Amino acid sequence: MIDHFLSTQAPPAVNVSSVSKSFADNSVIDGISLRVEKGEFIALIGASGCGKTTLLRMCAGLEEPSSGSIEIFGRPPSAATSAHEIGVAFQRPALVPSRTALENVRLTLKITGSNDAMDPLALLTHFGLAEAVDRYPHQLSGGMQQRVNIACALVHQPALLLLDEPFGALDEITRERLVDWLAGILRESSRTTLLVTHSVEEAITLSTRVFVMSRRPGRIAAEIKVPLPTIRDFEVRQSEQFLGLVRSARDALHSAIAD
Amino acid sequence: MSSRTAAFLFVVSAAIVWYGVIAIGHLAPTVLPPPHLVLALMAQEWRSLLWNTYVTLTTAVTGYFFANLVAISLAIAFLYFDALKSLATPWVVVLKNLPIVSVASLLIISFGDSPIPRILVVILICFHPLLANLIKGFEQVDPNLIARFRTLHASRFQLFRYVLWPNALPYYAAAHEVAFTSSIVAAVLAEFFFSRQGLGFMLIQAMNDYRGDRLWATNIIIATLSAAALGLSVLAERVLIPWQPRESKNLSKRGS
Repeated sequence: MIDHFLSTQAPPAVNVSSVSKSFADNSVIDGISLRVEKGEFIALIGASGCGKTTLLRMCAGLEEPSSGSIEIFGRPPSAATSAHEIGVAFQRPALVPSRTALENVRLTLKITGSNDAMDPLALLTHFGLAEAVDRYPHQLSGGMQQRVNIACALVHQPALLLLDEPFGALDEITRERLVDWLAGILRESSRTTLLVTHSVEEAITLSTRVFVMSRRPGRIAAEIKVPLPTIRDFEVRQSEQFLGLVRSARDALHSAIAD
Repeated sequence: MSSRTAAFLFVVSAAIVWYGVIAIGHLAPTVLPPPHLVLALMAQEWRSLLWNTYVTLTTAVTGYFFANLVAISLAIAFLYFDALKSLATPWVVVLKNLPIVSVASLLIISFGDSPIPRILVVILICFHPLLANLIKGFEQVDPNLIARFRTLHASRFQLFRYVLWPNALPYYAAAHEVAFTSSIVAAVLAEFFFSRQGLGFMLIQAMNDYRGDRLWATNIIIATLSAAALGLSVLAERVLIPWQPRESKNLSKRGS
């Protein structure tokens, strides 16, 4: 019984083993290994061009590693995408311009064939977009577009959520509000999330672990555990512990860039 | 000022200029017939004018239909077969830059007394803006959107139907504004060379007969048809592509 349990132990959500990636002669990622367990929220921080987006794209099966391997739930990323286990949201919202907010979310369900996953209208309402469901993407503000974009990434209930600087293009206030909002949304599920960001506060507010990447070619320079309570409200974010974590992440980032 | 007011002012001021030129130059009606004589002729010969308009329109619309068929088929074929695109590009470039006026004469010789050479002239003149804009529309798709659809394991057909084709539609619609108008001009041009009917034939006849009034009447009809083609294209664009942001479109029009 115990043997059986051990042998069927679930593989990690993401297993990156000694992955390198170069475009032409340009080495972007140099030997990264990391392991993400199910239900973890991982933040990847690093300077611009350090290869964090490339790493995320490789996890989504959009790029192939030059060497090394990536496994998503014990399978290659292509198998994970064909099983509709991955949801992605990029920095610039990737919405179909000819479809309304609601139609965009519905389209994701239609393509993945998982019509029973979530009710798109309820999801958008839950995202505070009840009045905007019939608007076309160009009629939505940047923050609203990004919320629809994240709704598209979540609606088919993927086991792994990949977020590439989803708040990078937004103004400070909208961004802070959306970070709070996302923290609330994701707290409700036990989904595994990989977030690429260049904001240290965002990383500490949302994640359970932070990986700090070096300058290009990217390596993992440091790993910071975030043992904060699940609900990180304003009070938590004013605490010594939170500020200390932000400080140490920032120090790690600075020394990673200085190397 | 609304565009309707502007259009009204255009018609009124054109008439004023017309009469003014005749008055100042003391021009005989054979040289420049006044508007009321042209209108009188239109009232008198409306049957033949209508019939010839119908003939020209048939050529224009038939040619335009095939031009669209050619443009859409080629654009989609180029999208999925790179080799075909490379092979076809010199053909397209040569066809596009051919002096149509001289090629029209070749077509008349080859196809003889039939509507085919005239329809071919319309296709040759109209297909290129349609093809070029469709290709551009397919190419200008947000790469993020394609990436997202790939992570959803979307099929090639789904990608085409939900992403590529809707993205190309506004470009395609913009091409109609140019190409549909040219189809009228192309049909008239084709009739110049060899025809027994149509507005182009009427122009040649009226010119040979020194019938200024008939010449002007025919020209007014051609101009009206072109304007109607443009209006229809703009209307179709508004109805069929409701997601097109209006503001940015106005900006681009102001810029051009």
